[in-house]
Amino acid sequence: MSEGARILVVDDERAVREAVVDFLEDEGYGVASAACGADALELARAERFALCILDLRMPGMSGTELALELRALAPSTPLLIITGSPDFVPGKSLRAVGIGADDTLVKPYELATLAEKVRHRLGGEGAS
Amino acid sequence: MVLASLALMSQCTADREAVLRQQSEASLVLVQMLDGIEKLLDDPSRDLLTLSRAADFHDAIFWERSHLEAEATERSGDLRRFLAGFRAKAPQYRSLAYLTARRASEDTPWSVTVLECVPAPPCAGGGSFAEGLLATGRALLADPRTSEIGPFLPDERPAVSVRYATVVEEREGEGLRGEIGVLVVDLDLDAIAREMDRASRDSGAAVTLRDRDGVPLRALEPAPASAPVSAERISASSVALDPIRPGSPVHVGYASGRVLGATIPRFAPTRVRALGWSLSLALPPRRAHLPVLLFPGEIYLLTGALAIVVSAVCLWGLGWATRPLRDLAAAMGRTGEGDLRTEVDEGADDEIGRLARSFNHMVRALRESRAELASQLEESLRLKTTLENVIDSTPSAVVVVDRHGHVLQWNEAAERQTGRKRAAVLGTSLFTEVAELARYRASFERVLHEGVPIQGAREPYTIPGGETGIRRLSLFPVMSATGEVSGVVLSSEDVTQEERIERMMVHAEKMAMIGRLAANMAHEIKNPLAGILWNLHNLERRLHPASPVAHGRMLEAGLGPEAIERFARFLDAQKIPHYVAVIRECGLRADGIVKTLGDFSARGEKQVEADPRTLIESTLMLARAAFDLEKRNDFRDIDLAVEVDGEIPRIHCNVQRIEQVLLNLVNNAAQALFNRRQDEPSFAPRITFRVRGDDEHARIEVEDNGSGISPEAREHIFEPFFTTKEVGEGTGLGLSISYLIVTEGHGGRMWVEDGASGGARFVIELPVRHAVEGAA
Repeated sequence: MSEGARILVVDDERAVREAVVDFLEDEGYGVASAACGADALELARAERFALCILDLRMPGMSGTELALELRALAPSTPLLIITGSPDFVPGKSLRAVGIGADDTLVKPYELATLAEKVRHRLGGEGAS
Repeated sequence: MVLASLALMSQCTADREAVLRQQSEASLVLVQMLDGIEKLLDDPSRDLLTLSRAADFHDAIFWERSHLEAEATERSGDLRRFLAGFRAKAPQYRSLAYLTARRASEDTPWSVTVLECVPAPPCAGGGSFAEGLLATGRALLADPRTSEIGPFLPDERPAVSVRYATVVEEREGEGLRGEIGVLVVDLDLDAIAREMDRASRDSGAAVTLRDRDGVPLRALEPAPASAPVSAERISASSVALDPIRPGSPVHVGYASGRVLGATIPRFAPTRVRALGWSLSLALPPRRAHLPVLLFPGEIYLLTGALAIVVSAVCLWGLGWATRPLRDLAAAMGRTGEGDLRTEVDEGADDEIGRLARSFNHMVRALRESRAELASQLEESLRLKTTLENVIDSTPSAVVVVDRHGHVLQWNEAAERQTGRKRAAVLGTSLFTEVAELARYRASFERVLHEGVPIQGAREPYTIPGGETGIRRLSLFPVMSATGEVSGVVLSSEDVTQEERIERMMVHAEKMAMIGRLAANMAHEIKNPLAGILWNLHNLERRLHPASPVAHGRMLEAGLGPEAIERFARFLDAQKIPHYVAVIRECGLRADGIVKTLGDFSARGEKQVEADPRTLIESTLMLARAAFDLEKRNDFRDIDLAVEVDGEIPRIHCNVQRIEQVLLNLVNNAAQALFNRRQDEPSFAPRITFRVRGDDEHARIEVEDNGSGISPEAREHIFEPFFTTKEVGEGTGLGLSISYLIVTEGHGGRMWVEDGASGGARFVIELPVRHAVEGAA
């Protein structure tokens, strides 16, 4: 596994989180993961990630709140928002609270789409 | 001679006592006096009731009690001021008192104290008067049956007052829970005496009021100037009046052949318990007898008698005396025929003159009473008309029946609801005459016997003309003045419209809820679905050597190319790739359903102006294309018609969504028609589109000539996953989504009804939104 861009994955649903983590690892990225917003923030304070992928609907700190915090912590780190609500337009909603999500995905997307979006964000950097 | 004629008249009168009883002036005076006295005796009951319920009275009690409990030496005076204020307005009350009562338990006697009394009792502590008050209170509380208002006649004779008392439920306050009071008023008998005095002055009669034992409570005699007859004689004679016949309201009798009296035995005012009092009066015979002449039958008889007298007088040659008598006889004749304008010359102050005066007096009295009767009749007719107008204007059917079920009232709404005319049912027996109401007989009997209203349930009924409506029938007792049920009102309200709107609202609410539920479920399903699909993706990529990731890792793990090749063949032989593919396929299908469910909440999409006719055209194009792809059935076999009715307004809508709705309807119709043709090859399938509109709405109908939709299916047809199609033909979501697109998405309405040919007719109604002026 090459040293390179590390990605933070935040999702409260274990089956989903693990699938995404393993998939990204297979794609050759270094991945850290968290099950809630508080853990995610702790990781983000200790390390500068190249990309954060976060679920919008989580218990405790919501994805929107987490997005705000992450943005404040590292303004240049792109955020990729995953949502389960078909009627929720994350970009719009996040802009409404003062941040722009860099990309969104609606569950259950094809993992190939995720790979594409990640590559696009990181410009191929770090992939094995 | 004149005296002889008078004697003859007296004789006639004496023979017709029954007539006298009804008609004599004495009885009129008695009845009027009775009215006055009854009212006086009734008023205290009413006043007690009003007082005991008055909020300021309870306030006064409350303050008095609170004060008393706080500082034992001082009184607040609230209650005194209240009672005194009331007595100032009602001077007929000799005294007003309020007693409070408390007891330790249900078995112990009440401890009663006088809280306030106005005016203050004659001597300190109240003495025997206060004792009497306490006795009244205790008597009332001891026997629940007497806890109603009742007059208590004081023991002393002659009585000076009648006592009334009622139990007062004290308002619950701190420390006052469960205590009650007794309100006592004493009606001054002088008030009754004043009423008697007035009647006595007007009639010149001596009046006596006796209690149940015949002991005079009050006796009033006319002033000597207005009555020449000795007061003693009148009193003495009136005492001797008898016999008193039960059932006869007024009794008239003689005493000593010279004095006539009338008495009303044992009358009992309506609101107080029977007092057993009687009222009698004595009049001089001339005053008592002469007015009797007003009775027509008597008048003829007496006219005859007078005529004989007149003839006799003529024969005797006493010409001077005949003229006034002739005039009088003629006047009596005219009066007997009903002409009440007749009056005679009263002439000199002799017997004939007095006769004439009495006659004139009688005619005037008759004229007045007839005029009064006429005006009363007019007033009651006016009231009756007003009442009938009110009843007729009521939208509910109102039918009033008496205790035997005979129809007394039948308003216009009742005519509309039953188709029966008022004239045809008035006076008939409701439950036999109007068959559809026969089943309310039991309810009617219950209302009659229990005196409580019955509110019926909603029920269908046949509106004259054949349609079915919904109505709600209620029955109310009609209470008479004496508190008995004298009849029943049946009121039937047509709630067809109300019911329809309620059902629509319930349906709309249900659909909206299903929509929310579906959207939430879709969201919840997505997480596990993502878990399945993504982990499957990882499994495949890490397991099968065909995947570069798995292949690379196997090499890293030290497996040789040949072993890897064998492992791949092994996996294929075990159908592992096939299982993975099947799981993915199922997951993706579930994902498809979830996406459709998500459509339920698709809202706020861009809307543009469109012509409903264009929408139908484009839908038909799409439908043809879709069926051509299937090849199984040819859409051209269906006879398609588009009917346009009048001006069609343009609508604001999401074109793709409305096309989706229309396409769904056309597909459903075509499916049903093709299925029917399979069983019935000669069947000619047809789909008709109908477009019409007004300023507010555009309406699109899609009607087929298939077998229609059963009422049961219609109930649920817009619910998700409800389908009558064969398994595999549809998801059961099409109509639900269509419904939500029309209602939630466009603020319109959608429903299904029977088509003209027995098929199904789906109707979409979309609101026309007028373009904002000046908008680009």
